[in-house]
Amino acid sequence: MKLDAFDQYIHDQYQGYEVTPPAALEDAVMGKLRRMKWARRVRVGAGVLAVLAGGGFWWGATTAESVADPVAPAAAPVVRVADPVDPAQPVDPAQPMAAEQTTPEVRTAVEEAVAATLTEAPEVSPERPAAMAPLDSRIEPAPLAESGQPEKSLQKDRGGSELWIISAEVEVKDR
Amino acid sequence: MSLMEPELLELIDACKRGKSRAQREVYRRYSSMLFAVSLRYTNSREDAEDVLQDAWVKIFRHLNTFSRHHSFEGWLRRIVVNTAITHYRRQLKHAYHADIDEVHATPADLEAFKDLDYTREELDHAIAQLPTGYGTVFKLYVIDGFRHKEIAEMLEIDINTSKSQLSRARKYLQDVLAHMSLTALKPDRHEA
Repeated sequence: MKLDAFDQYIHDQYQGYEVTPPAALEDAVMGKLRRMKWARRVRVGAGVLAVLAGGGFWWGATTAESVADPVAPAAAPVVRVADPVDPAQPVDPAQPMAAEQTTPEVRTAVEEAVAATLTEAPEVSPERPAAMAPLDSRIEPAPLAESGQPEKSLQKDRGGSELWIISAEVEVKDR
Repeated sequence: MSLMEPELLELIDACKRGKSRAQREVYRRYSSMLFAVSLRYTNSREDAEDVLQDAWVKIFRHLNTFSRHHSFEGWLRRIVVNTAITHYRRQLKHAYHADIDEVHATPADLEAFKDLDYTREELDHAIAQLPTGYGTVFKLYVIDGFRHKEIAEMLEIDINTSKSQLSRARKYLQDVLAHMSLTALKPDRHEA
Protein backbone atom coordinates (compact mmCIF):
# COMPACT_ATOMS: atom_id res chain seq x y z
CA MET A 1 0.00 0.00 0.00
CA LYS A 2 1.49 3.27 -1.08
CA LEU A 3 1.00 6.37 0.99
CA ASP A 4 -0.27 8.31 -2.00
CA ALA A 5 -3.06 5.79 -2.35
CA PHE A 6 -3.75 6.20 1.34
CA ASP A 7 -4.03 9.98 0.86
CA GLN A 8 -6.33 9.46 -2.08
CA TYR A 9 -8.51 7.10 -0.09
CA ILE A 10 -8.90 9.62 2.73
CA HIS A 11 -9.53 12.42 0.24
CA ASP A 12 -12.24 10.45 -1.52
CA GLN A 13 -13.99 9.73 1.75
CA TYR A 14 -14.44 13.44 2.36
CA GLN A 15 -15.24 14.40 -1.20
CA GLY A 16 -18.66 15.99 -1.32
CA TYR A 17 -19.03 15.79 2.43
CA GLU A 18 -21.52 18.40 3.63
CA VAL A 19 -23.15 19.24 6.94
CA THR A 20 -26.18 21.48 7.05
CA PRO A 21 -25.60 24.38 9.44
CA PRO A 22 -28.36 25.51 11.79
CA ALA A 23 -31.02 27.63 10.10
CA ALA A 24 -30.49 30.44 12.58
CA LEU A 25 -26.97 30.88 11.24
CA GLU A 26 -28.27 32.20 7.92
CA ASP A 27 -30.33 34.87 9.63
CA ALA A 28 -27.39 35.74 11.85
CA VAL A 29 -25.09 36.18 8.87
CA MET A 30 -27.64 38.19 6.89
CA GLY A 31 -28.46 40.33 9.91
CA LYS A 32 -24.80 41.09 10.45
CA LEU A 33 -24.37 42.01 6.80
CA ARG A 34 -27.43 44.25 6.98
CA ARG A 35 -26.10 46.03 10.07
CA MET A 36 -22.74 46.50 8.43
CA LYS A 37 -24.39 47.96 5.34
CA TRP A 38 -26.33 50.49 7.44
CA ALA A 39 -23.27 51.29 9.50
CA ARG A 40 -21.37 51.98 6.27
CA ARG A 41 -24.18 54.23 5.05
CA VAL A 42 -24.21 56.11 8.34
CA ARG A 43 -20.45 56.54 8.14
CA VAL A 44 -20.70 57.85 4.59
CA GLY A 45 -23.52 60.21 5.58
CA ALA A 46 -21.59 61.43 8.58
CA GLY A 47 -18.58 61.99 6.37
CA VAL A 48 -20.59 64.01 3.89
CA LEU A 49 -22.09 66.08 6.70
CA ALA A 50 -18.66 66.64 8.18
CA VAL A 51 -17.33 67.82 4.83
CA LEU A 52 -20.30 70.15 4.37
CA ALA A 53 -19.98 71.48 7.91
CA GLY A 54 -16.27 72.00 7.42
CA GLY A 55 -16.88 73.79 4.16
CA GLY A 56 -19.51 76.00 5.75
CA PHE A 57 -17.22 76.80 8.67
CA TRP A 58 -14.38 77.63 6.30
CA TRP A 59 -16.66 79.84 4.23
CA GLY A 60 -17.90 81.64 7.30
CA ALA A 61 -14.39 82.15 8.64
CA THR A 62 -13.16 83.44 5.30
CA THR A 63 -16.05 85.87 5.05
CA ALA A 64 -15.52 87.13 8.60
CA GLU A 65 -11.82 87.65 7.96
CA SER A 66 -12.50 89.70 4.84
CA VAL A 67 -14.94 91.92 6.77
CA ALA A 68 -12.77 92.40 9.82
CA ASP A 69 -9.46 92.67 7.99
CA PRO A 70 -7.93 95.99 9.19
CA VAL A 71 -5.40 96.05 6.37
CA ALA A 72 -8.02 96.00 3.72
CA PRO A 73 -8.56 99.46 2.15
CA ALA A 74 -11.62 101.22 3.33
CA ALA A 75 -14.34 101.11 0.83
CA ALA A 76 -15.34 104.40 -0.71
CA PRO A 77 -18.54 105.79 0.70
CA VAL A 78 -21.42 104.78 -1.38
CA VAL A 79 -23.62 107.58 -2.49
CA ARG A 80 -26.87 106.40 -3.75
CA VAL A 81 -28.52 108.53 -6.31
CA ALA A 82 -32.09 109.27 -5.60
CA ASP A 83 -34.65 107.87 -7.87
CA PRO A 84 -35.22 110.01 -10.92
CA VAL A 85 -37.78 112.61 -10.25
CA ASP A 86 -40.99 112.10 -11.96
CA PRO A 87 -41.52 115.30 -13.98
CA ALA A 88 -45.22 114.96 -13.46
CA GLN A 89 -44.77 115.27 -9.73
CA PRO A 90 -44.32 118.78 -8.32
CA VAL A 91 -41.03 119.29 -6.59
CA ASP A 92 -41.15 120.80 -3.16
CA PRO A 93 -37.94 122.71 -2.62
CA ALA A 94 -38.61 122.82 1.09
CA GLN A 95 -38.56 119.07 1.32
CA PRO A 96 -35.23 117.83 2.63
CA MET A 97 -33.07 115.57 0.53
CA ALA A 98 -33.12 111.87 0.95
CA ALA A 99 -31.10 110.49 3.79
CA GLU A 100 -28.66 108.75 1.45
CA GLN A 101 -27.77 112.09 -0.10
CA THR A 102 -27.22 113.94 3.14
CA THR A 103 -24.67 111.73 4.77
CA PRO A 104 -22.12 113.70 6.80
CA GLU A 105 -19.34 112.86 4.36
CA VAL A 106 -21.30 114.05 1.40
CA ARG A 107 -22.50 117.12 3.17
CA THR A 108 -18.98 118.03 4.21
CA ALA A 109 -17.66 117.48 0.70
CA VAL A 110 -20.40 119.63 -0.78
CA GLU A 111 -19.85 122.42 1.69
CA GLU A 112 -16.12 122.41 1.04
CA ALA A 113 -16.66 122.47 -2.68
CA VAL A 114 -19.09 125.37 -2.40
CA ALA A 115 -16.76 127.29 -0.14
CA ALA A 116 -13.85 126.77 -2.51
CA THR A 117 -15.92 127.89 -5.43
CA LEU A 118 -17.02 131.02 -3.66
CA THR A 119 -13.51 131.80 -2.55
CA GLU A 120 -11.89 131.27 -5.93
CA ALA A 121 -14.56 132.96 -7.97
CA PRO A 122 -13.13 135.76 -10.16
CA GLU A 123 -14.27 139.23 -9.47
CA VAL A 124 -16.96 140.54 -11.73
CA SER A 125 -15.83 143.39 -13.97
CA PRO A 126 -17.82 146.53 -13.26
CA GLU A 127 -17.72 147.53 -16.93
CA ARG A 128 -20.81 146.90 -18.92
CA PRO A 129 -20.48 144.48 -21.75
CA ALA A 130 -20.38 145.73 -25.30
CA ALA A 131 -23.68 146.25 -26.92
CA MET A 132 -24.92 143.30 -28.80
CA ALA A 133 -25.68 143.34 -32.47
CA PRO A 134 -29.24 144.10 -33.55
CA LEU A 135 -31.57 141.19 -33.34
CA ASP A 136 -32.34 141.28 -37.06
CA SER A 137 -28.77 140.61 -37.98
CA ARG A 138 -28.73 137.65 -35.72
CA ILE A 139 -31.72 136.07 -37.40
CA GLU A 140 -31.14 134.31 -40.63
CA PRO A 141 -34.04 133.41 -42.78
CA ALA A 142 -34.61 129.79 -42.44
CA PRO A 143 -34.92 127.84 -45.62
CA LEU A 144 -38.20 126.28 -46.34
CA ALA A 145 -38.51 122.66 -45.92
CA GLU A 146 -37.08 120.86 -48.84
CA SER A 147 -39.97 118.60 -49.19
CA GLY A 148 -41.64 121.00 -51.59
CA GLN A 149 -44.92 120.41 -49.91
CA PRO A 150 -44.76 122.50 -46.76
CA GLU A 151 -47.44 121.92 -44.24
CA LYS A 152 -50.02 124.62 -44.54
CA SER A 153 -53.42 125.28 -43.16
CA LEU A 154 -56.23 127.73 -43.87
CA GLN A 155 -56.93 129.70 -40.74
CA LYS A 156 -59.27 132.53 -41.57
CA ASP A 157 -61.25 133.94 -44.35
CA ARG A 158 -61.17 137.78 -44.11
CA GLY A 159 -63.22 139.44 -46.70
CA GLY A 160 -62.75 136.83 -49.28
CA SER A 161 -59.00 136.57 -48.87
CA GLU A 162 -57.45 133.46 -47.56
CA LEU A 163 -54.82 133.38 -44.80
CA TRP A 164 -52.56 130.40 -45.03
CA ILE A 165 -50.24 129.59 -42.24
CA ILE A 166 -47.17 127.69 -43.33
CA SER A 167 -44.96 126.02 -40.77
CA ALA A 168 -41.29 126.88 -40.89
CA GLU A 169 -38.22 126.34 -38.82
CA VAL A 170 -36.08 129.25 -37.81
CA GLU A 171 -32.55 128.76 -36.63
CA VAL A 172 -31.10 131.47 -34.42
CA LYS A 173 -27.40 131.73 -34.18
CA ASP A 174 -26.02 133.22 -31.05
CA ARG A 175 -22.97 135.20 -32.08
CA MET B 1 -19.46 23.21 -11.73
CA SER B 2 -17.86 25.35 -14.35
CA LEU B 3 -15.98 28.35 -13.04
CA MET B 4 -17.39 30.50 -15.77
CA GLU B 5 -20.96 29.38 -15.32
CA PRO B 6 -22.93 32.48 -16.29
CA GLU B 7 -25.50 31.98 -13.54
CA LEU B 8 -22.83 31.83 -10.87
CA LEU B 9 -21.05 34.86 -12.27
CA GLU B 10 -24.28 36.85 -12.26
CA LEU B 11 -24.89 35.74 -8.71
CA ILE B 12 -21.42 36.85 -7.66
CA ASP B 13 -21.82 40.19 -9.40
CA ALA B 14 -25.15 40.72 -7.64
CA CYS B 15 -23.49 39.92 -4.32
CA LYS B 16 -20.80 42.45 -5.09
CA ARG B 17 -23.54 45.03 -5.53
CA GLY B 18 -24.87 44.10 -2.09
CA LYS B 19 -28.06 42.38 -3.23
CA SER B 20 -29.44 40.50 -0.24
CA ARG B 21 -31.31 37.93 -2.34
CA ALA B 22 -28.14 36.95 -4.17
CA GLN B 23 -26.22 36.74 -0.91
CA ARG B 24 -28.83 34.36 0.49
CA GLU B 25 -28.64 32.27 -2.67
CA VAL B 26 -24.86 31.96 -2.45
CA TYR B 27 -25.11 31.20 1.25
CA ARG B 28 -27.63 28.41 0.68
CA ARG B 29 -25.61 26.99 -2.17
CA TYR B 30 -22.31 26.68 -0.28
CA SER B 31 -23.03 26.81 3.44
CA SER B 32 -23.29 23.01 3.93
CA MET B 33 -19.97 22.38 2.25
CA LEU B 34 -18.32 25.17 4.19
CA PHE B 35 -19.82 24.07 7.49
CA ALA B 36 -18.20 20.66 6.97
CA VAL B 37 -14.89 22.43 6.41
CA SER B 38 -15.40 24.53 9.49
CA LEU B 39 -16.20 21.48 11.60
CA ARG B 40 -12.99 19.85 10.42
CA TYR B 41 -10.81 22.66 11.74
CA THR B 42 -12.56 23.37 15.01
CA ASN B 43 -13.00 21.44 18.20
CA SER B 44 -16.71 21.85 18.68
CA ARG B 45 -19.86 22.53 16.75
CA GLU B 46 -20.30 25.88 18.48
CA ASP B 47 -16.83 26.97 17.41
CA ALA B 48 -17.56 25.77 13.89
CA GLU B 49 -20.70 27.91 13.78
CA ASP B 50 -18.79 30.96 14.99
CA VAL B 51 -16.05 30.39 12.45
CA LEU B 52 -18.56 29.91 9.63
CA GLN B 53 -20.43 33.09 10.52
CA ASP B 54 -17.22 35.12 10.59
CA ALA B 55 -16.13 33.50 7.35
CA TRP B 56 -19.35 34.41 5.55
CA VAL B 57 -19.03 38.01 6.61
CA LYS B 58 -15.45 38.04 5.28
CA ILE B 59 -16.61 36.40 2.07
CA PHE B 60 -19.21 39.04 1.29
CA ARG B 61 -16.98 41.90 2.41
CA HIS B 62 -14.06 40.81 0.25
CA LEU B 63 -15.98 39.44 -2.70
CA ASN B 64 -14.56 42.23 -4.86
CA THR B 65 -11.12 40.64 -4.49
CA PHE B 66 -12.29 37.36 -5.96
CA SER B 67 -10.94 36.73 -9.43
CA ARG B 68 -13.27 34.86 -11.73
CA HIS B 69 -10.27 33.03 -13.15
CA HIS B 70 -10.05 30.98 -9.97
CA SER B 71 -12.33 28.43 -8.40
CA PHE B 72 -15.04 30.13 -6.38
CA GLU B 73 -15.49 27.06 -4.21
CA GLY B 74 -11.76 26.91 -3.54
CA TRP B 75 -11.76 30.60 -2.64
CA LEU B 76 -14.62 30.09 -0.18
CA ARG B 77 -12.97 27.04 1.32
CA ARG B 78 -9.74 28.92 1.83
CA ILE B 79 -11.46 31.77 3.65
CA VAL B 80 -13.16 29.34 6.03
CA VAL B 81 -9.89 27.54 6.71
CA ASN B 82 -8.07 30.82 7.27
CA THR B 83 -10.78 31.98 9.63
CA ALA B 84 -10.59 28.76 11.59
CA ILE B 85 -6.82 28.94 11.73
CA THR B 86 -6.94 32.53 12.93
CA HIS B 87 -9.47 31.40 15.51
CA TYR B 88 -7.07 28.83 16.85
CA ARG B 89 -3.74 30.27 15.83
CA ARG B 90 -2.34 30.48 19.32
CA GLN B 91 -3.30 26.93 20.06
CA LEU B 92 -1.92 25.68 16.76
CA LYS B 93 1.41 27.48 17.07
CA HIS B 94 2.19 25.56 20.19
CA ALA B 95 1.15 22.28 18.66
CA TYR B 96 3.22 21.98 15.48
CA HIS B 97 6.32 20.61 17.12
CA ALA B 98 4.71 18.54 19.84
CA ASP B 99 4.04 14.84 20.26
CA ILE B 100 6.70 13.73 17.80
CA ASP B 101 7.56 10.77 19.97
CA GLU B 102 4.03 9.53 19.80
CA VAL B 103 4.41 8.55 16.14
CA HIS B 104 5.23 4.93 15.96
CA ALA B 105 3.53 3.33 13.00
CA THR B 106 5.39 0.29 11.73
CA PRO B 107 5.39 -1.60 8.44
CA ALA B 108 3.40 -4.28 10.22
CA ASP B 109 0.71 -1.73 10.95
CA LEU B 110 0.57 -0.77 7.30
CA GLU B 111 -0.40 -4.32 6.44
CA ALA B 112 -3.74 -3.57 8.01
CA PHE B 113 -4.52 -1.14 5.15
CA LYS B 114 -4.58 -3.75 2.43
CA ASP B 115 -8.31 -3.63 2.55
CA LEU B 116 -9.21 -0.07 3.33
CA ASP B 117 -12.76 -0.05 4.42
CA TYR B 118 -13.49 2.66 6.90
CA THR B 119 -16.51 4.80 7.22
CA ARG B 120 -16.12 8.53 7.32
CA GLU B 121 -17.10 8.53 10.98
CA GLU B 122 -14.25 6.12 11.72
CA LEU B 123 -11.86 8.32 9.83
CA ASP B 124 -13.20 11.34 11.71
CA HIS B 125 -12.54 9.51 14.94
CA ALA B 126 -9.01 8.59 13.89
CA ILE B 127 -8.14 12.03 12.52
CA ALA B 128 -9.48 13.67 15.64
CA GLN B 129 -6.84 11.79 17.62
CA LEU B 130 -4.04 13.44 15.65
CA PRO B 131 -2.15 16.14 17.52
CA THR B 132 -3.53 19.51 16.48
CA GLY B 133 -0.49 20.51 14.41
CA TYR B 134 -0.29 17.23 12.54
CA GLY B 135 -4.01 17.07 12.07
CA THR B 136 -4.21 20.56 10.60
CA VAL B 137 -1.46 19.98 8.06
CA PHE B 138 -2.89 16.57 7.15
CA LYS B 139 -6.42 17.91 6.63
CA LEU B 140 -5.20 20.90 4.63
CA TYR B 141 -3.06 18.76 2.35
CA VAL B 142 -4.97 15.51 2.01
CA ILE B 143 -8.62 16.45 2.44
CA ASP B 144 -8.81 20.06 1.23
CA GLY B 145 -6.08 19.81 -1.37
CA PHE B 146 -3.85 22.74 -0.44
CA ARG B 147 -0.19 22.66 -1.46
CA HIS B 148 2.67 22.86 1.00
CA LYS B 149 3.44 26.41 -0.05
CA GLU B 150 -0.12 27.48 0.70
CA ILE B 151 -0.15 25.59 3.98
CA ALA B 152 3.12 27.23 5.00
CA GLU B 153 1.63 30.66 4.28
CA MET B 154 -1.61 29.95 6.12
CA LEU B 155 0.05 28.48 9.18
CA GLU B 156 3.07 30.81 9.02
CA ILE B 157 5.50 27.92 9.08
CA ASP B 158 8.29 26.74 6.84
CA ILE B 159 7.47 24.57 3.82
CA ASN B 160 9.77 21.83 5.11
CA THR B 161 7.96 21.92 8.41
CA SER B 162 4.70 21.42 6.55
CA LYS B 163 6.15 18.43 4.70
CA SER B 164 7.57 16.81 7.81
CA GLN B 165 4.32 17.41 9.70
CA LEU B 166 2.40 15.72 6.91
CA SER B 167 4.70 12.72 6.91
CA ARG B 168 4.36 12.29 10.63
CA ALA B 169 0.62 12.80 10.48
CA ARG B 170 0.29 10.00 7.95
CA LYS B 171 2.25 7.59 10.12
CA TYR B 172 0.31 8.61 13.18
CA LEU B 173 -3.04 8.15 11.46
CA GLN B 174 -2.06 4.80 10.03
CA ASP B 175 -1.02 3.75 13.50
CA VAL B 176 -4.35 4.77 14.92
CA LEU B 177 -6.28 3.02 12.13
CA ALA B 178 -4.17 -0.10 12.52
CA HIS B 179 -4.99 -0.27 16.18
CA MET B 180 -8.63 0.30 15.36
CA SER B 181 -8.49 -2.64 12.94
CA LEU B 182 -6.84 -4.88 15.49
CA THR B 183 -9.41 -4.10 18.11
CA ALA B 184 -12.95 -5.19 18.07
CA LEU B 185 -14.09 -1.90 16.60
CA LYS B 186 -13.85 -2.91 13.00
CA PRO B 187 -15.44 -6.37 13.33
CA ASP B 188 -18.23 -4.79 15.36
CA ARG B 189 -18.91 -2.43 12.52
CA HIS B 190 -19.14 -5.28 10.03
CA GLU B 191 -21.45 -7.20 12.30
CA ALA B 192 -23.60 -4.17 12.70
